[in-house]
Amino acid sequence: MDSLLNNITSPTFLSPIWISLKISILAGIIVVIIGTIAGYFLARKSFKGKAVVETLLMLPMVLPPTVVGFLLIVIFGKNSWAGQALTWLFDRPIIFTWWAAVLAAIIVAFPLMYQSAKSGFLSIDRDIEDAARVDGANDWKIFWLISVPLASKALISGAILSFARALGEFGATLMFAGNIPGETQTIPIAIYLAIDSGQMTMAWLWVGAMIIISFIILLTIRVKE
Amino acid sequence: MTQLIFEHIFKSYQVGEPVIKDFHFETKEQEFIVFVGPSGCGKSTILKMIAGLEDITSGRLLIDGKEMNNVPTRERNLSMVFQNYALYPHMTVYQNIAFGLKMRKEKKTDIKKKVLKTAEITGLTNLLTRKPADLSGGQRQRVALARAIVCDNPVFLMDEPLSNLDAKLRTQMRREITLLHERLATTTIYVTHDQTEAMTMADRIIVLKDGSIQQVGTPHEIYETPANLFVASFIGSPAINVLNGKIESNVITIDGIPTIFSRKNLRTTKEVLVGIRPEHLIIDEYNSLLTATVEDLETLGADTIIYAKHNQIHLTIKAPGLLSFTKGDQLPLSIADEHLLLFDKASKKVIL
Repeated sequence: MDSLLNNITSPTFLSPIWISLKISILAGIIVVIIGTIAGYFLARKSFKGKAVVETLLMLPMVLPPTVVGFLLIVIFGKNSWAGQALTWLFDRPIIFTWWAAVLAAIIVAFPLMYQSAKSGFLSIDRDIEDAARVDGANDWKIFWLISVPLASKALISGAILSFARALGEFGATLMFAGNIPGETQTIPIAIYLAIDSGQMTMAWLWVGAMIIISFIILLTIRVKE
Repeated sequence: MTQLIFEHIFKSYQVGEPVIKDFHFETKEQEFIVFVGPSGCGKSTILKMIAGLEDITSGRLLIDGKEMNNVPTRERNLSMVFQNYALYPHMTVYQNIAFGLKMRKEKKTDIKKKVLKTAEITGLTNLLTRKPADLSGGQRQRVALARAIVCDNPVFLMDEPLSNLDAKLRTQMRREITLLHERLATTTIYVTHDQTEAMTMADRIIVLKDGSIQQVGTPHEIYETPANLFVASFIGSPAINVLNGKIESNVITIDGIPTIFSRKNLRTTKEVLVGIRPEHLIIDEYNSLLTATVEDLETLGADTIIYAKHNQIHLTIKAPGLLSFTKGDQLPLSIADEHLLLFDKASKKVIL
């Protein structure tokens, strides 16, 4: 019993949990913002090549995480144009950093938010937005006072799904952010390594932590509704 | 005090022919104009162009002398009632009515005063804390009206506002909207497919078909001197009887009806279509011109609609009072020939 308590309070156990939560929360917030804007834009505007753009945005959802990881390394790696620009900006390459894990989580979670937001906005009766326009609202006020509240259910469920997806992200994160204890080692990576090295107790503890976190999130939503 | 001018307005989309063709018209100040026509005639499109919710492809729209083509909706100072009301479902009745005033950044105390006054006029005082989902159809209609009148805009647009109400409520609201128009002194454009609404509410009616104006006129003019066969058939219930006929030196003959009418000034000789309104076929035992066989009957209470047949020609007759006939009864009829309408068979235009 003592050893269990020691395990739970040990930095080895807690560190991946904090890292996972921080990454998922930050990635979740960013994804909610850009996913909502992208969803609104694509639900309301039509332009040439829209179908191609929409398909590209959904692509990370169907691609294997390893493919996403590979592409992230190619695009943001030390030798790429974007990678060098980031290195110049932050004084160090982004690959194998905490920020790399955030970026990987954003990429894989984005399609879920974007998809929910878009279908939420599409389900709004356009006459209601037009009524607000006639009532003197500008585009920003229509978006903020009419569209977002009316799509709020879809936006909330999109946010939950994205957060959960970011929390569960494994493949792309491992490839692009690596496994650096205390910096990029998230719960899923920690579980994988624990099993690999026969530390079943730790694996159990992290699995338990993951279940509890997920349960709490889902419960909050149910209570709020 | 506001006048709308439409100068040769066209509307087209990427494909197909224009949906609005050469819409050219001027309202008078404080006029109640009704756009009427079958679905797909473009009447709602014109309304949306006035509101700035649809672009004008070519031509000019002027409100009080100012070109509106590129003025955003929020700066056009107009109110609109939508067919399905388009209330803000997440706001209370109070917030729905207050929204437009808030957008204009009016003072909170002024907003409250105006909302309460409007709620009183529209009979919503007890419902201000409710959400639209908890209201009946008639109450939602009132909220939509209240939202439109609270801003006191000089132009009022209504897109089939009564089509979702039951018959009794529709008649009542028809009257209320007419009274409201008189009270507010706005210029109102009202869109409907219902010819009764058009006839009862309008100062002037614009009859539309396939994006083109068929006729502009007062309800009287539209009914008594329709410009063409379409207008004659669209306005009037039940629909006008249309029979084949001929004009030959001032004499009109109608196929299958053993009688002739004469009219001065008809010099042409041509095949025509003769329009006879159902109320102009009169049951008349003493001066009957023809005898028709009763086929069916609709009892409306104040009137009776009789569907009858004469020499393979179907006739609809509208007679005042509660009449009872049975199928097969012989009906002596005369024709109020001063009301005959003649249309060119080829162009379908009226012959005056």
